[in-house]
Amino acid sequence: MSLLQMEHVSHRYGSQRFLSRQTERTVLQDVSLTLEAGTCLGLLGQSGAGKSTLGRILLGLERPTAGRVLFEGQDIYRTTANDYRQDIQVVFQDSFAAVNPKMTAGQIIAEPLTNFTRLAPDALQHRLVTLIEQVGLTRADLAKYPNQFSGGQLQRICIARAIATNPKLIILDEAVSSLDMVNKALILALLGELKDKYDLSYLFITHDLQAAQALSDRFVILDQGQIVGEYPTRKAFADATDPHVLAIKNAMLATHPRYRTIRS
Amino acid sequence: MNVPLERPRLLDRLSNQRLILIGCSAFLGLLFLTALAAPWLAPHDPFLVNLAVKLQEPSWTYPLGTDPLGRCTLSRLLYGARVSLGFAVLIFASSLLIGLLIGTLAGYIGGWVDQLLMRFCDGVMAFPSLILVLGLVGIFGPGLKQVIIALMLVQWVYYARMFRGLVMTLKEKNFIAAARVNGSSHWKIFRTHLLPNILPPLLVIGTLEMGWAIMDISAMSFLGLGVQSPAAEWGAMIHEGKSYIRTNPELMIYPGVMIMLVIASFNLLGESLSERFGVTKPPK
Ligand SMILES: Nc1ncnc2c1ncn2[C@@H]1O[C@H](COP(=O)(O)OP(=O)(O)OP(=O)(O)O)[C@@H](O)[C@H]1O
Ligand SMILES: [Mg+2]
Repeated sequence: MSLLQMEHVSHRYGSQRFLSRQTERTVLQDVSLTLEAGTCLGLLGQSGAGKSTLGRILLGLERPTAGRVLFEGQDIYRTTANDYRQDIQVVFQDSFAAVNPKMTAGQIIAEPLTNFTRLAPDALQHRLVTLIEQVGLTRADLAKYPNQFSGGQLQRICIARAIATNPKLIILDEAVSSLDMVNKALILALLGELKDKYDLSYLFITHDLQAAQALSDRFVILDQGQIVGEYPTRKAFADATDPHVLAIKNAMLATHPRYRTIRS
Repeated sequence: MNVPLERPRLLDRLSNQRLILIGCSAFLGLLFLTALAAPWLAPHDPFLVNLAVKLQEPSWTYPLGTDPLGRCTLSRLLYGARVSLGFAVLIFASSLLIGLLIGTLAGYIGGWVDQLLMRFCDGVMAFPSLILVLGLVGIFGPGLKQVIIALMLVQWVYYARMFRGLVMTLKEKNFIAAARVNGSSHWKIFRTHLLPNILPPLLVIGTLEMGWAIMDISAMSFLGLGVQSPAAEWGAMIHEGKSYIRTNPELMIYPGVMIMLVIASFNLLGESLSERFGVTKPPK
């Protein structure tokens, strides 16, 4: 049994207005994919393809209009048990928007722990220290507020929050996309390290080719709400000549400073 | 070309802001304390009619003189503060609670719940508060209760709309999504994520609105719709004093000055708080 299965999932965003007609917009169309435990699936696609929507559906935040989402064989939108929440965590792109500005780093990381576990205060404190040191920050950082951190540091705090309750799957929605080159490499290294250590699975959502290749074992291309390509290995993906993959590759190249100077 | 230096002016402004903040809070704090302690501070019974001492000049026994019925003006002012401030707080707190509840629900749930609640708000907004008061007074007769209910019914809509907007922008932030993923209940999200982030604007609006509430109560009482004699209330005192405007203008001036000072303090305080928290006031 796969860790996660999406079966024929479609999603429409409708703007429900009282006493007026609905305007609807189909964002995902008959998407099926599977994710095996301990692997990283790269989900690539251009802006607006529906990647984040897919992530929100997997997180249990957006009920799909059709299809099923099975986590460990259980339909997460049909079970009353909420324990899948503890097992699926998330890291978003914009770390400043992903944390409450009025909470300290310690309170931010403690949120899932207080919700899912019953740790005594000193055990909780001990766990917080372990977690923050694991992501390369120090014990003193626990008392700081988000505006006292850099984007890269704050992303580490988000990662600490995501791994706090030992989840099985982490959805990385553009988790490294807004970081500079150095931080991107460091965070990718940290994610790889954590994956091996805790046998985590990742769904790596991105439009960044290199970042995707650094971590993922398998690749899925999403375009306008539909899956237009699946590549079971890194090599297959690197050799792909599909126009959708080429478009993503070109989009990446176009932003590279050296490529731009060559073209002009 | 000579460019004028901006710096000293900015510094002046900043320290002025601080001065206003401290001064206004001190004045209002003191006023609230005097209102609370009115029974001990007032030299006389504010309702005691004694025609033998009507329209007295200020003296040691009657520091601000007496009114046409021989009642001590200072005592009536002190007791009036209780009514004006007390009911302003009541109107403010109750309309704030209703507005917070409805606005947060509408903004957080969204969809048709939001649409329904907002259409309802639009309906209420269509009635100016004066018309609502006149309607209630027409049905139930003049009285403080009618005025308070009418003002409450009108006020909460502003709060509801404001909180709805604030919550809607907050809801888009991923930390709310992360909180859901982290197993926080909706109630916990409201307490720990929404409320702390809407507190600064709440403080600013609250301060500004308190001034307006006092103004409204006094205005209604002045028009004879709210507080009825013999109760002491600033607006009602102006109303009572207006027949003596030629001979004893101080009967209107004392409560008038109090109203002006209180409203000015609340407004200045609100302005400086809004500057401090970087909150933009919604248009009223
Ligand atoms: N809450 C919403 N209501 C209505 N439409 C939405 C909502 N969220 C997203 N959409 C629309 O759905 C489409 C897909 O959005 P989504 O955020 O999933 O794309 P994405 O692939 O993550 O893009 P990006 O790479 O820019 O993050 C977009 O056209 C967007 O406008
Ligand atoms: Mg996205």
